[in-house]
Amino acid sequence: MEAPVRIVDAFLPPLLEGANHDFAKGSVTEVVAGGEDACGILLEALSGLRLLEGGKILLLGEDPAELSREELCALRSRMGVFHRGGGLISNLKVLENVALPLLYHSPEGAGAIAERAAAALERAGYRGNLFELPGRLSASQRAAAGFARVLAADPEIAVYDRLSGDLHEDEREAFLHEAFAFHRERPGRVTIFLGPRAGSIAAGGAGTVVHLTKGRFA
Amino acid sequence: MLAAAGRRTIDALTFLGEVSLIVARAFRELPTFFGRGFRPVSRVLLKQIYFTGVQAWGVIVVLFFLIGALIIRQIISFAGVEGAPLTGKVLAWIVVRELGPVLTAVIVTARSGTAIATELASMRINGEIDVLETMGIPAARYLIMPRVLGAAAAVALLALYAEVVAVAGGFLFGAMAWGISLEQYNQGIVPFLTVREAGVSLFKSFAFGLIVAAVCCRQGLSVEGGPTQIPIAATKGVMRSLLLVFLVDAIITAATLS
Repeated sequence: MEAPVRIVDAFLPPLLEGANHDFAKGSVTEVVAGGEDACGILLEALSGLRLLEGGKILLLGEDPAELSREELCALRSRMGVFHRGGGLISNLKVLENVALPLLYHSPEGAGAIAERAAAALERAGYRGNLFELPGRLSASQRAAAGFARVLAADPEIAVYDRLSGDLHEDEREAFLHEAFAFHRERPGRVTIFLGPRAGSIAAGGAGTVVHLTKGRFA
Repeated sequence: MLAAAGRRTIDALTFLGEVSLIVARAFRELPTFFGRGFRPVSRVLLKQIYFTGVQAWGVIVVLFFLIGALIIRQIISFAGVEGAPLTGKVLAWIVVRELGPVLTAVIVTARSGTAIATELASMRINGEIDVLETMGIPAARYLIMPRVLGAAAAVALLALYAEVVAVAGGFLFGAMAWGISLEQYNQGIVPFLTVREAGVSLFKSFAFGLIVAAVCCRQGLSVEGGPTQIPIAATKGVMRSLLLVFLVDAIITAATLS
C-alpha cells in the first residue's frame, strides 16, 4: 500500500538533498526541520507551492508538479494545513476564515458550512467573537481559528507548521490533545507536525520523530 | 544615458506586459465563475462592486452636479442666455466624451485603487496569498478576477451615472439661474447624444476600470519585503493608474474622433 505522502530523492538545496521519506497511512510524524525558515520551505514543498529541483513529493499518489491548476486545487482541498500563527486571511472575519475553503470546494449549503465552522471553532478552543477580524485577535485566538480551519476541512493529510509556536504550555497541550484526537477520527489520515527543534509533539501521542539534517531525513 | 533610457523602456514594457497579463487572467477566469468556488468569488465580486460603485456614489453626485453647474455658468458667460442650446451641447460633449469616464476613473483610483493595492500588498507580505493557494484557492480566481472585473463594471456604471447627474445638474442650474427651458437645453443634447457617443463613453469607462484595478493589483501583488513597502505600492498604483488612464484616454479619443 503506497504511503499518502512520499518524498522521493527530493532535491531542494540546502534543505533537501536527495531526501527520502514515506509518511505511512494513519501515521503521526514530527519532522524536526532544524530552523524556522526550514519549516516554512518544507511546508511550501509539501503543499506544492515550491517546486523541487529534483526528485518528487507525491501527495495521495499525485505529483503536484505534474498536475493542472484545477487538479492541484482539488488535491489541496484534500489537505489541511495549519500555518504558523494560524494563517488567517486578514480581510475575512473569523467564521469566514474557517468557512472559506469549505465554501470554495464543498457543495454543502452555506448554512450547514457556517454551523460546521462554528463547531470547529468551539472544538479548537476559540473563545471570542466569531465575527471579529483577525487583526483584533490574540495569538492564541488566531492559532485556534487556524486550527479550526483544519478541523472543519476533515482532510486526508493534516500538516501543522509550528502549531505550538506562540502558545502557552496549557494551550499547547490542549491543541495537541485535540490534534491527536482529530487524527484518530479518520482512518488512514496522515498527520505531520513541522517544528524547528525536537519537541514533545509526537511523543505526546504515539508517533515518530524524524530529523531533517544535511538535506536528508534521519 | 542611453543605457538608462533603454532600461526604463524595458521596465515600462515589462510593466505593461504584466498589467495586460492580469487583465487577460481576469477574463480567462470568467468562464469558470459559475464553477468551483462560485460562492466566495461572487462575494468578493459583489463587495468590490459595492465598495467601488455604491460607496463612491455620494462623491460622484456632488462632484458631477457641481461640474454640470460650473460648465453651464462658463458657457452662459461667453455665449449669453440666447446660446441656451449650446449649453446642452457643450455640456454633453465635455462630460460624456471626457470628464465622465476620466474623472470617475480618477475618483475610483483614489478610493478603490489605493484600497486594492494596499489590501493585496498586505496579504502578500503576511503570506496570505500562499495560505489561499494551500487551501486550493487560486489567487487569480479569488483575488484578481473579482477585483478587476468588479471595478471595471463599477466604473462603467458610475461614469454613466455621473454623466446623467452632470447633464441634469447643468439643466437644473441653468433653469433656476437663467430660466433655460428643457426644450432649449435638449436642442443641443439630443442630436449629439448618439448611441456611438454613449458606447464610446461606456467603453472608455470600462477600460479605465480595468486599468485602475489591474495596475493596483499588479502593484499590490509584486510587493516584497516588509510593511513599509505597502504605502509605496499604493502610491505607485495610483500614479501609474492615472498615467495609463490618461494615455489610453488619448489613444481612444484619437481613434474615435473623426
